[in-house]
Amino acid sequence: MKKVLIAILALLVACTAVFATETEPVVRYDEDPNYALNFAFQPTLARYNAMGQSGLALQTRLDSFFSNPASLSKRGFALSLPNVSVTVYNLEKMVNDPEAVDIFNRLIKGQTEDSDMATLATKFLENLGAGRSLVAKVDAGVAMKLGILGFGTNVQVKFHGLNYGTSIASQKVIPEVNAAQTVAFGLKLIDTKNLSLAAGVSVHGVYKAYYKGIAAETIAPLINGGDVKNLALWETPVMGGYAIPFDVGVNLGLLDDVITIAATASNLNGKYYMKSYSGFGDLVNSFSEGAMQPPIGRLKKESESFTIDTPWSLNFGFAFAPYVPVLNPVITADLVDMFEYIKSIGSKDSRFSDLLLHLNAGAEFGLFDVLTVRGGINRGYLSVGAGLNLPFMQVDAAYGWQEFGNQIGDKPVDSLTIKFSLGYDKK
Amino acid sequence: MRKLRVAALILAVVVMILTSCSQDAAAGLGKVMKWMSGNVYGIKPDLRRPNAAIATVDSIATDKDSLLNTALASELIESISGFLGSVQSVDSFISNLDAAVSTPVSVFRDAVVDLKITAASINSNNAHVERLRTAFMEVITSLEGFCAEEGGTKVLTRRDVVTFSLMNSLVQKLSESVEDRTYEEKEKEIAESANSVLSVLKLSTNYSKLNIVGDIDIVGLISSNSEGESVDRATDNNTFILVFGKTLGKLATFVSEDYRFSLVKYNRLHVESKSLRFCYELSMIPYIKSSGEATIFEGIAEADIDYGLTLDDLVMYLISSFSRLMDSKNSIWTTFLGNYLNENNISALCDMQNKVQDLQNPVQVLRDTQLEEIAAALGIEAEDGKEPKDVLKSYIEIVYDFSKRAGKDKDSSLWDFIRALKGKTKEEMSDEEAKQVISDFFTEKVADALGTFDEIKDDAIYFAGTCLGILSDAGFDTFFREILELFKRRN
Repeated sequence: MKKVLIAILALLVACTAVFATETEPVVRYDEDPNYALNFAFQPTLARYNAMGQSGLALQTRLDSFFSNPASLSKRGFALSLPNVSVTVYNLEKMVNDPEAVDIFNRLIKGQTEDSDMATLATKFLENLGAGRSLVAKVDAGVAMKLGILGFGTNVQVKFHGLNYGTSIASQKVIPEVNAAQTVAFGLKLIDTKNLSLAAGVSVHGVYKAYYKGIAAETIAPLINGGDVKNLALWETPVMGGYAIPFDVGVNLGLLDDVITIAATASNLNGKYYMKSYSGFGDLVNSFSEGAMQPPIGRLKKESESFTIDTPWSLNFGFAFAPYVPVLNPVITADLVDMFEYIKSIGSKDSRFSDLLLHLNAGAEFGLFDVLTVRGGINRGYLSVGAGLNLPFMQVDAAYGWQEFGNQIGDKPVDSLTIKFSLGYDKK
Repeated sequence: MRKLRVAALILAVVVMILTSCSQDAAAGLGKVMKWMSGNVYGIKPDLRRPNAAIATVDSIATDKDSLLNTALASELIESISGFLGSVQSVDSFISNLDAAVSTPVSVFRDAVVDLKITAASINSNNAHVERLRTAFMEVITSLEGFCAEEGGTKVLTRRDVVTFSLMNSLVQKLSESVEDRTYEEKEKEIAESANSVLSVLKLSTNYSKLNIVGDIDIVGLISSNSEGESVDRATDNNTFILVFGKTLGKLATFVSEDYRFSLVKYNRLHVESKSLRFCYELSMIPYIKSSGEATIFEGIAEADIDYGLTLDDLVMYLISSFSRLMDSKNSIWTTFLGNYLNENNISALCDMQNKVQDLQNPVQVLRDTQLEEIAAALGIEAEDGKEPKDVLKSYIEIVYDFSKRAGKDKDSSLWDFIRALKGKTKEEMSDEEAKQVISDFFTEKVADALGTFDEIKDDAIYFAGTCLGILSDAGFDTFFREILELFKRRN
């Protein structure tokens, strides 16, 4: 019995020793290959999502330079002031849940009961399942295209799901906040009627912060009036840091750019220099001491430094945009994450059919370039979308499936994105 | 193309559904959305490996020689570890594992006895090594007890044999000498082996109503009267069984007196939790400094593994989980309660079934007449001068209060917890004084815990539960992951 007691005491002493170091432990979600979260920053592009996450070679619309800076070589002016997009994941499970639909109905009619939002939140969290997932994503930003230059400021909040088990009891939600400033330019190196060659570079200054995973069962009760502010600012450890990734792109235009072939290398130099903080308030105070007032008696812990390497990707794109009045069709096809595939060519494991798993393709028809419908295939999963492009306002929506597992078929997840933008954005 | 055309309608319909949806329209949309989820290339999850793993489990022989042959464990690990990152594969494996591991098998007592002899023969005169070996022996003894108590053929399943086989492989690995390898190489080998075993164990224990790596289903520990047995009949000297059973039994009685503590399920919990602990301990070895010792066990001694989780802590942990079931609107609890109520035609709690949030504060929402009705229905008798309704009230309040305490402030310092538990501010109680509370608690109170658990139950439950709650809010896996991180950081 004594041994048992000593052992229990040792546990407490061990824990206490750690608390006593006054250093906030580093929390990582990027190391376990089966559960690693992708922390590379990518603004949400509703049009791109609707077209099967393809469109690297598209040179139209303002947000093209976020995926391929060479598109800026096609000079012009566009302004988005601001744009906001919301993406919600795992919608299909909610639509197929009569109770959830009933709650949605009551929400719309303003007849909700106190427990409805918590129930809805619980359902969302239960639907995330095992492994990694995303709950929701919100983007807000401004962007401008001025001749060959592009500027963008984006703030993105993502809610990751991570579950080492299989039930909601082991489900964690990991909020991630990104603030990014993008500067890009593109130049035409060759510019003839039948042949053009353009190159571009974009540099992103990204500041990233992510929280230590919050237990799902802690979240649902917060919906009904819990102390969210305290949880978000002071109670949950946060890892924060910066990176300066850059993208390069090359476009080869044929037949007056009716056909475009592109190659991009994205997220180069994607190493984030991170530090641990006891809370988001401490992170803010590290920039401006005293900006936020911690609760009385709260002890501040020291930060610990670490780095996160986010992967770069090599991609190829194709776009066919013939001049067809009224319909304005566009067909796109991208081969994404090709570096490893190219390296494997020639090996006994290499199969040509695997190329399909890197293929994203899509099509768009723009009625008078005002009302647009889109569709696509992303690694075999379907997506659809629509857009309304008015002189000073654009609305885009996309619905589709994508793979969140390690292999195709492991974990398909659906998402709905709605993007609203004020400003001018024409071809 | 037809697929695309159909799918193109979805977005508009989604908006319509979400703005003025009827159940029918939602159902129609849901079908289309589900249909879109298929991969157009026809790629399905690759289930060959999980199916092969199931076949391996199915092929488990139960004769002594094959059980003591570590090839079986290697085959299991090899066949399972390849798909652990694949969500669908794991899901498929787990669902198919049900049938495979639930199949009763014949006695393997002889094999367990042999394994015990092997473990016992490991020599060491070092206290640390002895402690680790004690841990092995506890696992093996649990297995042995399982055979003895259940008579083998009645309840032993392939799942238990899988656990045995994996444990056997680890003991054999530890029994090997260093030979021509360096200590560091051997150490790494053992840790990797333990990690692999751990993965398989987590899978095999994950599927069950005793999900000790996820959300423990306490209800799974309670069988109907015909399957289980009254804890009062557990006459052996295993104090853990008595304490655990009594505590769980008491909690269960306010749900139904027809439910009894299940020794079979308890034994399984015992073996599996010990096995998991064993693997986690071994997994930690590389994170501990060593001075290049000549033998594995002396090296392990250097590890000074002593994080102290014992099955006694499980009492606290399980009760914590139980109370969380009640407090977190978890469907397991409400289903359990709902089923009982329906079966017994009790109307008093209908509101609690329909409005789950009432469970957050059940005592306050129940009228005295309702409490009386429930207490009568549950057969709760007067106790210590208290009326049955007050006895029921106190049970509910114990669980409710504890769940409140255990569930909050997970990242505060330990001293903050002590102050909170004692209702003191930082000014009223210094860190040193808080430390003294821990010391007093463990030296004076817990010393007799196993003998007089009821007397200190409240303190013990909320104190230990809260301490564990700091590190564990999602089961043992998270708990041990955190512990592992601590070890990494300290070294």
